[in-house]
Amino acid sequence: METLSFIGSDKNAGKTTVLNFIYDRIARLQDKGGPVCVTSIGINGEHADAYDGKPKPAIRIREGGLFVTGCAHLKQHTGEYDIIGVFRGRDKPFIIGKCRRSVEMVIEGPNTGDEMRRLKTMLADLAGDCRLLIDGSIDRRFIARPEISDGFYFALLITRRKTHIQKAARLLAPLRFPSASKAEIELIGKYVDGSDKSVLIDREGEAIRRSRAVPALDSDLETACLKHRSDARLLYLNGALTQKLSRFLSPFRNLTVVLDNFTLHRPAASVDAPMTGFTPAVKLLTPVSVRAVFIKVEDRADLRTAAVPENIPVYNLFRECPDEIGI
Amino acid sequence: MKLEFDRSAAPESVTAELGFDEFLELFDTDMPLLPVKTVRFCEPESGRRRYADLEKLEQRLDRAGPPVERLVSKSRGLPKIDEILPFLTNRTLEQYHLHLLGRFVREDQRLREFEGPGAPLDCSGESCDTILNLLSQHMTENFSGLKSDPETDALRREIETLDRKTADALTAFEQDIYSRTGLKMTYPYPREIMPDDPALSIAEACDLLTCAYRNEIVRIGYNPPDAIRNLIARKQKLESRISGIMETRLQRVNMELSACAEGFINYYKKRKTRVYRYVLLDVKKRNGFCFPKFTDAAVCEFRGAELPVLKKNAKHYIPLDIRLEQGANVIFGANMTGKTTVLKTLYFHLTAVGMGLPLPAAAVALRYPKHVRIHLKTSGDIQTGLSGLGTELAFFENAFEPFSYVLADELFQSTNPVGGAALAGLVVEEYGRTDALFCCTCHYPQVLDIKSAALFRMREGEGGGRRFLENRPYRVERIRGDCEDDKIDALVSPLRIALQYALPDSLKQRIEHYRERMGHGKDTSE
Repeated sequence: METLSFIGSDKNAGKTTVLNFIYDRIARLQDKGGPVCVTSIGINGEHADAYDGKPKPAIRIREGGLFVTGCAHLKQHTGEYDIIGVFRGRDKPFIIGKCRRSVEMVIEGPNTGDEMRRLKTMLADLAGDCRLLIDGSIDRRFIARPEISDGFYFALLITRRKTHIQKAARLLAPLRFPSASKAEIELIGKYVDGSDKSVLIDREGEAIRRSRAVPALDSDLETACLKHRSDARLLYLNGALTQKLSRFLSPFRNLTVVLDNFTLHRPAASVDAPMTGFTPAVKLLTPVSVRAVFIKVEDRADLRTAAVPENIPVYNLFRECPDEIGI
Repeated sequence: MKLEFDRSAAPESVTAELGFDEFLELFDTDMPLLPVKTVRFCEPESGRRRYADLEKLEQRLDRAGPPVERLVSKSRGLPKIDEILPFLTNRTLEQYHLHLLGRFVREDQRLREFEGPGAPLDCSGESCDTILNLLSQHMTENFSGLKSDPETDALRREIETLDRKTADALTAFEQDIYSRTGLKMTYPYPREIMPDDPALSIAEACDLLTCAYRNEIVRIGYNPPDAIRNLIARKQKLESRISGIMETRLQRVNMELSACAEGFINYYKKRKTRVYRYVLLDVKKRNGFCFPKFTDAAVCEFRGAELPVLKKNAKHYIPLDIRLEQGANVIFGANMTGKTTVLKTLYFHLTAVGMGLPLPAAAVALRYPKHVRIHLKTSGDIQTGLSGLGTELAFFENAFEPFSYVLADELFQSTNPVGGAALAGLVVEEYGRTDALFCCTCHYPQVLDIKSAALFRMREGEGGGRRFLENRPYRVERIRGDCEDDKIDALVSPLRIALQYALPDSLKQRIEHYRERMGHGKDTSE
């Protein structure tokens, strides 16, 4: 089941608009790729933002389209859908449905990686070779796991405000990170199990230290790095590379930091404290496949601030002619 | 199904040590209808009835019913629908509730057919049949949605026609805009252009478009003609009508279902109880457990009683055989002979009886335990400010309820031997006059003289060396209080145990000499 996830750099970055656009494009090719199912991490598609009350674009499910949402959001759609399954989440059930006609719907899906994996298995049983679109969130790291997402669409909000520039840059930075080499992947695979948050490996390929503690809060990790600064070669992290941790690791020029996935790159908490002088090499264990970056530009912001890698197509849905966008 | 233990029923430190959680894991079963079940300590009447019902069901299944493991397997198809029952009563079921309700009654019908006449529920399934019939009338196959009717079908066709007309009109409208302005107005709206874009003046001049300035950018939106607005409004009206019809239909279904709500809710509760019983019977059968037999007399007899956590960890496990009588029962024996383990095994089983669970034993007969209390050795409690003796005395403040089982370890060893022996003797005598069933372990030889107490001693393991330490719990045997040999043997058994250890030779010699003086040397005891 091909799964495409949508991530926005900020609120009002146009993520739902991008999802609707891609959904429409894929749905038109339905006869080639099977049905399309839309779900979300948490709740999305409300008519107004729960935080600032601003109107938001709705998620429109097409006739015959599949969706996964919470029961509470189906109250107003009686008779407009058929239930093909009920997914029991950790806290509540989710309905897997099929629309009888095109409907604007609030979408709510599971909030944990385990639930999303189980949902995908159930969907594969119920709907066969469907495509799944996930209205995602960068804060949910499981979305980057290869068994969850096959590809991503990013929605970036570009303005002249520093916070927006910073958030967009933070989202894009890991796209430039090279993938870990085969030897590094094998080495990490040798020591890491699902619950390890950090592993420090020496020149001989031996694990110096494994830990399940959150790396940013793991003071023993810093102690181990200092103690083995001459022979530590690789640091695998499955927790956020925060500003504090980045600062600490900055002088370790012989170290290669391998992040489990791109969502872990969180080097700067604010624009006023940019990360500079970081000398270790940073690589990704799980390569990220970004199919396209969609930008929403407010005022006369400079598009170059987005600094999207050259090999990734960039579109502005609101300014370019949609027919010419080659998705 | 995950079985959970009512934590208020027993001290957490004891239940953790005795491996209650591990024992409850034996009952883990994939059972959507009962994801979690909390077991609680029952009063005598309902507790006895609980076991009687289980035995009755077991007998019926053995006689004429399907195998219990198949019943457990078939019960897995039943969804849990507790959350929709209030909606059923309040006539506010939604479409997805009807789906779940439909799945339940259909699966229940299959299960009832499988159960056959051998194990019918003591509640009619009529309400389920009525619901199944009603839902079959109103819902599509698999209860996936509300059935359409000619009116809604006609409205849907009309909407489809309007959709096509609207799409055609919008395409023509967009083409019109394109031909007049060169702007492609397709999703998403509004389009954005910069104020210095030459297209802006053309857009502003076009009555088909709207232009709005915001943040130095011009947003160009639609200004569709009335014909298109009317089409969209007409469609919205039709959609509202369909929604209205569906709501009315839903209300009707709710009204019809409400007639059997009470009967169904009662049936659903009984079905859950029945499925829980299937799981208990299945676990009993798979593990060779037993149900207790209840007596009116205050006795408690265990044969082959196991403490699962101990059995798992011991190399040569010896299950417990013991019969306790009303009043005081005193287990006499040296340290490390397993007295405390016997008490803990008793506590485990008595608590499991109160919880209504099958027991890891060959046979159990007892008076139903209304209360079960245990006191284990303690050096005091800083939280309550009580010393070891204070804690023990506080325990006995609440341990004289009628029909209770009271277990106490190393009676009054928490104080000096003289006072301790006196208190122990008095407490044992006091229990001899009650209808409680008191069982304690004790070192004080004075208690052997109490005529009203049933006395037991621990038989040590066989094989010599330290091997006896692996055999737990050790065998318990009844002794006569008036037999001086038993008394002396019980008193010198610590000396015998001490000789199993690698103590200095000189010390071992002194111990041997002492035993010989007491008439329990090598030639007489080994």
